[in-house]
Formats: sequence, structure tokens, C-alpha cells
Amino acid sequence: MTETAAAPLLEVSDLRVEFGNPRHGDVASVLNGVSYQVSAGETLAVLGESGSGKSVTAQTVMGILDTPPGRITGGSVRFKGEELLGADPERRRLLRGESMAMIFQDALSALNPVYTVGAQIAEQFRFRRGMSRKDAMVKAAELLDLVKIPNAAQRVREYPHQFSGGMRQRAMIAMSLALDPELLIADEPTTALDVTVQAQIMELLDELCRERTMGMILITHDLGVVAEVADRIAVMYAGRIVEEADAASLYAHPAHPYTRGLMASVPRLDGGGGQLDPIPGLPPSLSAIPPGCPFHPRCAHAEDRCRSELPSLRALDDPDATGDDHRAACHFAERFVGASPEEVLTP
Amino acid sequence: MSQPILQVKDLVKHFPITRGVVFQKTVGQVHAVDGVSFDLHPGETLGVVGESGCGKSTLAQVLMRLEPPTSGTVTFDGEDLFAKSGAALKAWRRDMQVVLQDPYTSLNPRKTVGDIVGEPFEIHPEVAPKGERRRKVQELLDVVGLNPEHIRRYPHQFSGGQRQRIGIARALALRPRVIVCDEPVSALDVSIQAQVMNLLGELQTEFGLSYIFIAHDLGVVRHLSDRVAVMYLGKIVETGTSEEIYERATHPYTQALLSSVPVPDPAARGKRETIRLTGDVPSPAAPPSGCRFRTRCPKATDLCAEQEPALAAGPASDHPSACHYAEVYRTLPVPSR
Repeated sequence: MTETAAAPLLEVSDLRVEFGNPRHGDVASVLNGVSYQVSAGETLAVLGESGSGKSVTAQTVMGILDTPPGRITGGSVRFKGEELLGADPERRRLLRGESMAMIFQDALSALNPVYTVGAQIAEQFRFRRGMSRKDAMVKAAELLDLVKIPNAAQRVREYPHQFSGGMRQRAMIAMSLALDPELLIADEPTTALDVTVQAQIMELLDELCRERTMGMILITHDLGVVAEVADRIAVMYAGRIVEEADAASLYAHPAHPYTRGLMASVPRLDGGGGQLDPIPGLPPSLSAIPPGCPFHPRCAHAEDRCRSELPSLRALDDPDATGDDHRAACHFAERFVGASPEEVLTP
Repeated sequence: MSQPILQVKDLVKHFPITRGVVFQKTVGQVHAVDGVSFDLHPGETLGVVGESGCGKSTLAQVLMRLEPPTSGTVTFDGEDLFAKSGAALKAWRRDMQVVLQDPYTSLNPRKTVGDIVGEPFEIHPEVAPKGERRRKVQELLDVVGLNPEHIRRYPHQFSGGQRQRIGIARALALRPRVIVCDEPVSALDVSIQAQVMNLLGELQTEFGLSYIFIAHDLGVVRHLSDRVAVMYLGKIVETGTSEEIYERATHPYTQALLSSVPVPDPAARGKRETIRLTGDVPSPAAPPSGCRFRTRCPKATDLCAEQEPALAAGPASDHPSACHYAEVYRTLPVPSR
């Protein structure tokens, strides 16, 4: 991890987003005060199940959230100190691609089927850098080569349907890197891919981030992928970050019952244990988030306090964490942080 | 050992590639399943793993008699499955049911849960007389962990995990002996996935079911399977007990697959040896000569291009492995936490 003394690359604080129309009374609070930071060269993994708000946070940061139905009701997003929420749309458009770029889960629908892959990458060079069509195509081929597509000079003239799933995702990565962004947001980049291809793509992303000291926000639901590349991890539940720590301490001492539950739910390759120990119940509906701790209806350790008082995300005393980096939003986090992930804690 | 309930022998399914609108002519064959053999014993779970396009779902469709095979035989309880017709076919359908991957598209949105789970009884009225059906359906909902009161609700009122439970209840309705599960948990979130996997395990013990469990997630397959078959481009490349496959894999593809699975432990980062395959799976319309894995295999030699390795145990492999150079790589680089 690289230490940056100055302002972090990206600082999201207390971000709040709602969906739906308040006049009809059907409002879903999708983000309820999300804060995180990403420094240059750092990979932050945002881990969460569907509906936890991880993609909406990323869309808000990129400025591609559909409003309506979404509404940003509070908070701030600062990129190198510059406030982005409420900024001039033209300014935001310039930042996209140039300073921050995003890759998506489904590369096939993110690519335009009627243009060649090369033309779609070259477009950025032509419009942002004023290059000629020919020079831009040369640059596009260089990028395809950078993301290890064989025969890049020929493949640049092919259409997305001629690419395999893994190659399309590589082409998306090439496109996102075209203008040398400082921040890359990868929204479930390997979820649609097979394991052997997933491993290739994650390795490529990791390598590119390190070479370019690029900050990365990796959004995923896969605890394995996270463990392999993330520097820091933020776990989201019902529109909030419930735990945040560097990767090693999070896996060694998960302090939030939800994080512990997630880890106990993953079937392991080494075949340990018979029954899995899943989290009971379902995530709450975002239009009716329970009072107090949003996780309390599914938590075996919930007490009266959890039902009425919302726990804040606070720093914990974790001997393995660097500084006060391990934070969790649980009233009883101290009880869990010392225990190993397998330890079954009786409520 | 008991008599196998299902015996699959040299099962082949090719799909023709046609060209032309009026005068269609076949210009090639997609070799989706190309000579697959295995046995399934009562009460056993056979896991089938492989990447997309390896033919595992086509295998499920042929086994369910949703697609006719190109060649090969399948016997169920010693009787030829593809020879069945009429009443015998209908009776057999009670014994073998399927759970599909996508709980969103596999349930009819216009029918209530009661109608969906009760529909098998309409087709096989001998299982439950009309008056008893409602009670039967409620029992089934209870068995899979749903509220029996919700019998009048529609699929959209349920979450993904609950819908998958509805799919399982429907499959259980006729008390089948074999259930083919085609990626039953891959569309679900981790915490919900674990709930459904536990349910499948419990139902197996309760009803003495046999499962053919098709999935691409190696962890999920290990968790539920007694035996595992690894498929690549329409063929089984290695098969054995889950211990043999996960601890002593001898086929380079299985080894690469296992080493590609990310391990949820940051302490293991950079410490375990990984085999990274290059390139993509070749097209099943034009599979490579000899061993199908040779184009991506780190061990491939000229022999692999000329001669197809047989799926058999060898001196260095205690279980069937279709590789000329089968050997145990080393103990799996899975850390114990």
C-alpha cells in the first residue's frame, strides 16, 4: 500500500441516495450514509450482496446514476479535493475517462455491437486527443496488446461478437485505460466469466493497477476474489458500510456478525465442515429498513439495544490492523474482533 | 455396492449447424456432449463441474429426455430410458425431476405458488387425489422452508432464494428418486446460496434422493457431492470421489481449475502456486484433434494431438483421468485456516 499524505484520490462521505417518488410514499433508501476513501495505487474492495448499494455508490461517484428515479439526498464525493456532486455536468464529463473510468459486469452489453472493438476504443483518442482516425486505431491496437489480446493488430478490426467473454472484458479494460485514468471502478468485472478466465482478468487488473499506481474500487460479492487482490475491504449491508479494514485483518478478525456470517456461508474447496452456517432470513427491503441496526433481524447476537439504536462505524482495537484502520458498525464489535472466524460465538 | 439407479453409456449429443433458409444444409456439428459415461447410485450425489460450453447443461437436458440423444444409452433402473414411450415414459417422469438455474424465468409469473407446486399433481393425478392436493402443496412448502400460508402468492412476491425453494418444492412433488440440479444456486447471493445448499442436503437424507448436481462453482460441488465428474468440451476428463478430485487431481485441466479458484484468505496471497491457463475454450463445433485440452495444456506434446487419451486409472492416477501424463500435481494449494 502506498501512503499518500495529501488528500486521498477519492473521498466519499456520508453519501445518501434514494429511489422512488416521495409523493407516492414509495421511497427506497438505497444509500444511507456511505463513506470511504481510496488512495492512489490502492485497491478498495466493496463487498456486499445484491441490493446492498455497492453499484449505486459507484454510479454516483462516476456521475452516471439515473436521476430520476434516483435522488442524491446528501453527502459529498471529492476527487482530489474537488467536489463532484453538483459540479457542472461538462466538468464531470471531462473527468470521466480522463480521471476516472469504469468497467462493467456484462462486457457484451457494454460494447456497441455495430462498431469494431478498435473503433470504440479509438473514439476516445479522436475526440479527446484530436487524433486522426488512423493514429487512433494504432493506439487502440497498442491498448489491446497491453491487455494481452493476441494478434491485437488484427483483432482491433473485429466486432464484439467475434470476441470471447474474457476477451470482451479485456477490451473493456483497454477502453477504460485509454486516457490514463487515476481511478478505475470495476463493477463485478469477473462475475460473468469462468474461473480460469476470471483468474486471468483479476491478475491483469492487479498488474495494471500496480504499474500505473492507479486507484481501484473493486465491487464484488465474491469473498475469494476480494481476498486475492484487495488492499482494503468495505463490507456493505442495506446501504451502509458495516465493516471496513485492511484485507488481512478483515479475514483474520471479522468484527461484524454479518461479515462473519458471509464467511461461514462460503463452501470451501478443502471440504471442511458438513453443514454450512448460513445467515438466516433475507436482507431487508430498502423501503422498510428495520430500526436500530439494520442487520438485527438476522443476527443471532441481537439485543434490545440493537433494535432501537443504530450503531455507528467506529474504530476497533485490532492488534493486527495498521493504525485504527479496522472499523465496524456493531454495538458488540469488541466481542467479535478477538475471535477467529470459525469460532462459534454463543449469543 | 448397490445397483446403479442411472447408468449412462457413451452418451453423445451433437447439434447440427445449418446454413440456408429454404434449402437447409448441415455444414457442421456442435459436439456438445461427446461420449459421456457414468453411473449414479441411490442416495448418491454426482457433481458435474466444468466451464461454460463444456456441455453440462446439454447433458442435463438429454438425461431429462428434453432433447433426444445422437447416440448412446441411458438406463434407469435397468430399463432403457430412450425406449420408453407412452405410459411408461410418463411413469418414469415421476421418478426423475429437475431444478433449474434461474428462479426468475423457471416459474410462471401468472400462476400462484399453489398452482406451480401443484401442477405435477394435475399431470399425475394418481399421486394425489384432488381433495388432498392443497394439503400436499402446503406440506411441500413447509418441507422446503416456505410459509404454507403463502400458497396464494405469485412468484414476484418472493426473493430469489425463496423462488429457488419453490422450484425445489415442485421437483419434490412427485417424490422422485433422482433430481437433476442444473446450477441451482449460482444465481443466488452467498448467504442465500448456503441456505439452499443446506436444504438440498437435508432433503437428500430425508427422502433418500440421488442428485446429479451440475455447477461451475467448485466449492459448491465439493460441498454437496460424493463423486465428481469434471467436463471439458463435451467429455468427462476426470472422475472420482470428491476426495480424489479435490485432493489428488491428476488431470491438468482439473488442476488448473482448482488453482484458479480464488481462496478467501488474504494470508495465502502469493503463497500458493497457480496454474494459469492461457486462451479460451476452443469452439465445440471444431474441437481439437486428440486430447481436447491440449491447446491450453501446459503439458501437451505431439502425442496429445495424435492420440486421444482414454478415461482410465493409470499408474500415477488412482481414479479415471483422461490424460497421457496424468499425475498428482502435489497436495492442493489450499490453506487450512
